[in-house]
Amino acid sequence: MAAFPILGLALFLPAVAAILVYLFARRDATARLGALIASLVPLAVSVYLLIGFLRPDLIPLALDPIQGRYRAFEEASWIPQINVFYRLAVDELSFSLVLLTTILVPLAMIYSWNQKKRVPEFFALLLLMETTMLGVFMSLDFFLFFVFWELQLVPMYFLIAIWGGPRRRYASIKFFLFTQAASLLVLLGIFVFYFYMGTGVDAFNMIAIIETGPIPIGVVQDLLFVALLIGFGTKLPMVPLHTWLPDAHVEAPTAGSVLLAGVLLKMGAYGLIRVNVQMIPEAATTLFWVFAVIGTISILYGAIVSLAQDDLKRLIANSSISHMGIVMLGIGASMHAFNNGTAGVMGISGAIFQMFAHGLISAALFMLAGSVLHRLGTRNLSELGGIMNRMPLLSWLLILAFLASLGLPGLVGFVAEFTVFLGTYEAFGLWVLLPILTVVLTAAYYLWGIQRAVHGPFRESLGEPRDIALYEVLPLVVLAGLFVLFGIFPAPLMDLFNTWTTSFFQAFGGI
Amino acid sequence: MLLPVIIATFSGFLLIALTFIVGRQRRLADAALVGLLIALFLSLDMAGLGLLERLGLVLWQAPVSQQLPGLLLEVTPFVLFFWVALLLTGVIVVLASRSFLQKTDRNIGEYYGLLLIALVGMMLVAASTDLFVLYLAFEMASLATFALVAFRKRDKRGTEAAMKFFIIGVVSSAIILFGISLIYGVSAHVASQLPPQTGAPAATDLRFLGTTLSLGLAQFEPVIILAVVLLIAGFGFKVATVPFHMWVPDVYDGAPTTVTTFLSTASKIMGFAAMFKIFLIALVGTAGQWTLALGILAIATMTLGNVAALPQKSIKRMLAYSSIAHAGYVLIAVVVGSHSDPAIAAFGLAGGLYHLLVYVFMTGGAFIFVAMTATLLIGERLDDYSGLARRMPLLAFAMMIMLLSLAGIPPLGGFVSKFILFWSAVQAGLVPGSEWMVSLAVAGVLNSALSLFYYARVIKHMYILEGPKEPVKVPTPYSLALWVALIGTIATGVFAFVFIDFVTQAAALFFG
Repeated sequence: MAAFPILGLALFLPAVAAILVYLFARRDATARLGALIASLVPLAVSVYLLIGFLRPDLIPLALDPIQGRYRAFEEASWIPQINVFYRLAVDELSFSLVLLTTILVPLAMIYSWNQKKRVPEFFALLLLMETTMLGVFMSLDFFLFFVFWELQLVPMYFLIAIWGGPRRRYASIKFFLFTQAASLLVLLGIFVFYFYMGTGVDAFNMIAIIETGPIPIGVVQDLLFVALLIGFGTKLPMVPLHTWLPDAHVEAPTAGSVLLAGVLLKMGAYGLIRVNVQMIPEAATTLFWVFAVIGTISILYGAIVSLAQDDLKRLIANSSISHMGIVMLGIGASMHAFNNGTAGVMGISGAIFQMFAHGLISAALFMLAGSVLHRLGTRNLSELGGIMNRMPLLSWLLILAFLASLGLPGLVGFVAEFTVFLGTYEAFGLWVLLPILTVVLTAAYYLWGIQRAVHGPFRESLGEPRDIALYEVLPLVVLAGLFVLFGIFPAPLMDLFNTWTTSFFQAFGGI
Repeated sequence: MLLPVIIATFSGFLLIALTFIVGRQRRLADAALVGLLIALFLSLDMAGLGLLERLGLVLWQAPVSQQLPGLLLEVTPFVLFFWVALLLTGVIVVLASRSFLQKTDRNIGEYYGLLLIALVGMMLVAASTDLFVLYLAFEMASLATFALVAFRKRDKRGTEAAMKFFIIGVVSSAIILFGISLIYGVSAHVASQLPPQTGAPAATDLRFLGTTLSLGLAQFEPVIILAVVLLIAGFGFKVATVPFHMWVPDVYDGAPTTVTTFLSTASKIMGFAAMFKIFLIALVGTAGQWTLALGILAIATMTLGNVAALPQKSIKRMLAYSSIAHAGYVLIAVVVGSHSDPAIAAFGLAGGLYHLLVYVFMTGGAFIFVAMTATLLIGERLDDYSGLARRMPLLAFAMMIMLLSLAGIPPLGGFVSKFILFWSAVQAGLVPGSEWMVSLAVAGVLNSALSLFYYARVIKHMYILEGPKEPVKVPTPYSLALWVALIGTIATGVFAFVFIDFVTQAAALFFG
């Protein structure tokens, strides 16, 4: 008997629910509740998978037939004439992102509970986003992967363009242009793989591509590497292709920002690791310096620009660039030191952990920025002041999230950054001081921000604000709990990522 | 075998006669619909459904593949593909016309009659095996469409459009005829020098032309090149390739919108059926003389169509330019279809056929949507569409899906068909000697990205901008036509495997 298609359930249930909510929810309350319930199913699947990953003896998941590393494998023929299959599975890498997505979507929905404008459509789009994001992470067929990669543009475009801020038209179009242009490069790369796989049954099979490594080493790999780096790097975003991000973030509604920063940016990083690193590892090892240099530039650039921001949301957006730079740096460090034993493993393991950590932290930060605007009517740090006096709950959560983001030990961000920097030191020696410098900068802009916004006398010009409501507190407290949980007990997740990196290096011939 | 054609012809003439008996135009539309649906069912049955056979009525063995030498016609899966596509167009257009035509419109029976007669001509173009039969059928369809454009004879813009269309159509027919006469001259001369044999095909038989023209190429190269230039120009006018596309925006904009739908889908499909037959069968031996020229035309056509569509404020005009761009994509199939590797050629042709099929649903549906908004007095301009999604959520959604499919967003039909087309061009480009064909794929991909902007703008107006809020009631036939188009657009993408089998079979048998 074939196993129950558990990933398929998690993937398509939100899409079906989206259609139902859009068509049939006549009252806003029904739409909200229906969407939330539908988004809990993928979360349940994630938890089930988590147990399967940590305790394979309890829940045995179906393994893929080629490498035996991808779990909850399911496959069906879709368009056999051009060798397209419906093929889903997760490994430790994609599972961490599936987990992140399924956690953030329900939280973003709860946070949006008082959304008043076109409610059924809003929640339907959030559900649709969930399907497309999960699809990108779960697909192991390049055609299917690209289908979801492209589809994901559509709901995000609408979220920004309908529910966004004053400059939403400009921001949504810019977002669309950048990511669509990047998608073309990804499509081109997929064509190259298809060609070199001999256009046979396995031509789109990502597992088979990883297994065989069809692209000849040398110029072809290097060119493909550059094309895919630009394609995925735009989404990441890496400097200098990052300019769409601050605009999109600032204009997007809070739930949109949460998913944009929390999950969408990770799609770029996921693409880099899954495709650039896993499928053309030779090019990735020779061109490791590209990752390292661009990563370091992104880290520094994001931090310096953040220092100059007055708008809280713009500050967080730019700090995202900095934090995603750490992911690139980690990959570069690992690719340089890949045959250096366990030291080489730390870079990519740390990078994956950083993706997970940044997803949680940035989600909380954007929710807080949304609440600040909603309650106080402004997000400009220069206009805020002393909100601790009137809104202690918001202020404490803000401080906690800022501390997590700047890498306070004991919280989730520290573990990730520390591992990456350790890996960088193993690979590049004292060059690590350059990116570590930004820790100071990051601390500077966050602490300065806290000082200006939270402390001091309350500014009477802000009116009589009420502290944040339950629907805002709930997701934030959950996120804060996760910061602490994974900050103090990172070991289970870290073990998963280490397993992943080690097995990849073993397959590639390192260690 | 010709039962669908006979039924369509009979219904066409019956409808003209019925005008005098039945006063209510809705009844006439229903009658036309019944005729079309029967013909469509029979064509599908012949193409491989085999339902009648299972019911015990053995008229044919599906899938049918038969020559009818006495009639200079054939019925093969390739032909049946075109019949199905054309009759589907007919169904969508008649459904929409049922609501589009007003009580004040006169001669409604003739409208449906002409529509069916045009369809018969188009079906015969697809079925013909002889150059002259093809030309005659082509003219039959063209004449009927000229009259259709001028159907509202008191409408000044419609009459002007009809005049332009007529002049261009007649001139291009003359050019085609001149090209045919040159080809006939060469072919007949070569045939007369072949050893005489009984039952030899006529000098204008398409497959025989393939032999004679390649034999006569060395001796008559200038004449053949001149003929090819004339044929490219003539058919270029018909399917509206650059630089013969000037008439399209004016005519499409001026004609009644249901007729525009018919012109942009059925007429174009017929034009490509004729081009496939003439270029890929009769002229295939001389392919070296024209592939590069057609390739350049393909790139120019898709680029110009998309660039010109960008600034349009009238949705009808925008879709007219978009249909020019799509003709450019299908031209890739003519170029790749002439490739020396039969597998690649068949794959390219299959891509072209698939794109035409998807095109019926997406472009047909989009034009019908415009016709609907015109009937409901919403308007046909971009600004009129503001906030439309809240006034008709379901149909605006259908329009959005069709526009996204036109832009080639997965997993819709337009993505799959473009994927096959462009991939076939890449495969052709990997063979030494035809490397340049890769540029067709590159141009296609870039153009698809470009086209997204103007399609997305319509979506933006419908979904994002604010507009009037009062809901509108959409007549059922319109909804029905749009649902057919929507389901077709999605099914050709998600259930592509069903349709790809159909078109690859048709393409493979086309080359024999």
